[in-house]
Amino acid sequence: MPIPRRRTVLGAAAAALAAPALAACGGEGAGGGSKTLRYTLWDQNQYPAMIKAAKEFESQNPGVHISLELVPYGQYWTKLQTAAIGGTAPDVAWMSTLTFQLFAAYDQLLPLSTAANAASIGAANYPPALVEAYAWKGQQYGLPKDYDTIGLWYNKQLFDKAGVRYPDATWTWSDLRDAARKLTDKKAGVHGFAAEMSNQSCYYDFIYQNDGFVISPDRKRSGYDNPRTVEAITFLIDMIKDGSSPSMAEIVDSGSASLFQSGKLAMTYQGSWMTPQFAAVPLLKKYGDVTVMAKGRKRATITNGLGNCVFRTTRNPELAKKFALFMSGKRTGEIQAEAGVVIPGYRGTEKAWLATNKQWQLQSFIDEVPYAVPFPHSINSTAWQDDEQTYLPQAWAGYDDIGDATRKLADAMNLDLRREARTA
Amino acid sequence: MSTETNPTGGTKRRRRLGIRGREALWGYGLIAPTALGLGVFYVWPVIQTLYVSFNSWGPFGGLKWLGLDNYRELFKDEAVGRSLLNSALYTLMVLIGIPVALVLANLLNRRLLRGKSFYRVLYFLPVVTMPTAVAMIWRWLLNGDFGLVNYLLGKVGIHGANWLSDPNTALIAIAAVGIWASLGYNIILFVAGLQSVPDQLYEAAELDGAGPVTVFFKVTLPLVSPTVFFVAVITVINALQVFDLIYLMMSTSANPALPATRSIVYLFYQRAFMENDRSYGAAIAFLLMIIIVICTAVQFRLQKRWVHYE
Repeated sequence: MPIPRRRTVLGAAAAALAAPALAACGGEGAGGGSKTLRYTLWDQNQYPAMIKAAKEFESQNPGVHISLELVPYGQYWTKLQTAAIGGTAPDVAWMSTLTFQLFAAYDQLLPLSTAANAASIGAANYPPALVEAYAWKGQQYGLPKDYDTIGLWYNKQLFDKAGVRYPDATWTWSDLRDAARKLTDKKAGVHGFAAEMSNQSCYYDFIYQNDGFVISPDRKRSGYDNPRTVEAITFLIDMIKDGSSPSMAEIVDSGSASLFQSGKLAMTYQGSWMTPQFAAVPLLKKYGDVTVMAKGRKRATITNGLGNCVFRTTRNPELAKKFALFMSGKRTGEIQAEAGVVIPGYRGTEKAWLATNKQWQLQSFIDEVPYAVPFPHSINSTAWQDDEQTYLPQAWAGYDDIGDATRKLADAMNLDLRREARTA
Repeated sequence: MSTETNPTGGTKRRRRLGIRGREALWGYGLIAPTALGLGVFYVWPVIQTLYVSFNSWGPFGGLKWLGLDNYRELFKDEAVGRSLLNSALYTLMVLIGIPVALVLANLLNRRLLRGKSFYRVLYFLPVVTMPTAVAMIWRWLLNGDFGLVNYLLGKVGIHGANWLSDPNTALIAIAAVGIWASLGYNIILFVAGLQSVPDQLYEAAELDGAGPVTVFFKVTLPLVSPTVFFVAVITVINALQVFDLIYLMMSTSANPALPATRSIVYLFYQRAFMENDRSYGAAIAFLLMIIIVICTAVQFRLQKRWVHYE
């Protein structure tokens, strides 16, 4: 390569000056034949069960072909939005309670029935919190194909060593805190509990157990200036301060799940979806177990579940609705339960899921359903979730006072909610 | 036909034009594929992005004219200022990689060095490794409790930080990885530049009794200065656009160091694709483009003082 001349330098510099381009490219025509349904999902682990269920739907409906499209979660929502703008949205797609409202509010989805008439599509067979989460302005857009709750996972070996009674359904916050202190063994590098800044599987649960809230029920106001909310966060951060929880930095670097898996953590709040991962760890298979979370002022667990929703642009609306209901229905529930990855949404089908890991009290996850709270959300949830990620870690790491951090967070979140109300 | 009826100077001129015209036509034909690609996939989207930045763009399209609102908000947004500062700091730190690459290239260019290709491959490997892999590996190496970096520091009695979750060290750690990852590319360019320096100049310098350090500063450096300039321009542009490294190294659930490391492109991604405010994202993208143009223009101005073209 010769010494670059001035021209070459100029040319290369010009080529490298990139302004990230935003223009979306609309492709052509959706799907192939008139009887093909495109179904989009993101979880590799659930893919085999989904294929199996789709095959059964095909055999029950001759001439129908289901084409499954697996899109990695990182691009899932951007891709769906772009496809919707370009008119190439799939017929049926997985939705999460967090994003469902965005698609519903912008009129991208086809209702399955009116919300009042939801019983006609079998809504009574699903966790009520999640049926409600897929309703929007008097219409029912989806039913949960699965759901998750959070449990108190613990390591019996560490409990035995410290001589502490195993946790059970009678536990309250103070039992949790006292046990965490006793279980902490600085020399062995063992902590009692992970006060993690993780929304669904930690601080959201504490907030609702303390009768606080993240977002007001009308979804117009932040709950971070609510004293109960602040109190719950303080309870957690105090566990870091007194040493019974690993520090923020330790949790960020290693993750509470891996600390638990390596026997460095006696108790942790983790979702039902962690079951297959923990089952692969010999230590936990032998010494691990799970029970319901400790009771605060009241009982609560954050729940989330995926829904099957139909896009407005489908060419076969009736068939697509039938398929969406089938993929949330009883038979699909049974197939999912056998696969053992998620708890199926259809009542009664979870039995096979419980049987996948008989060594643990998995029933605890199902016992929590009556007081489950849907994952806090609004139309544009990601906007204020970003605020949480900006302000809360400062409090968790001790760089900022809890009161100041939550006040700043409440202001930023309220601003986002006002903006949301303006644009929607 | 016209040649027969009008055999004067005019025809000659027309024929000359014809040849020139045909040549021009060939020229246009040959650059057409590139120009077309550049126009469709580059210039047009840039124009569209500019247009979008003056509108509001809903999550599912639908433009509404906003005028300068997005830009007004841009100057009020604290996160924008902080991110610009982070990007600037990152760029300054990454520039340190240039002298390092130049010195290494000089060593790799030694005639007497054994296993030259081995070292070159070693330095070039990170360049051909996927950025994701680089980021993931370094995340493990820099882990505060179990990372190799802190383990080695512990051996010599230094208690290492939680590099990636401490706001004071996170950006430095990322910049170090950024330098490491781009070293190979810069070395290749410098080696190429060094090899085109004529041998007789070195011989003449040696005859005049110049030592290796003098030779480096008086002969090598001026002659490779165009390469240094080229590398500097590209490094600044790339550094101002840093995103993947930060995104991948910082994206754990909640990291207190995020505000101290979030680059302007990261903020763009967050606003446009996570918070669904595409038009505000477009305004950020445009601000960045203007900053890059200014930085590059300044560099071109300054080069007259230190870059020697043969």
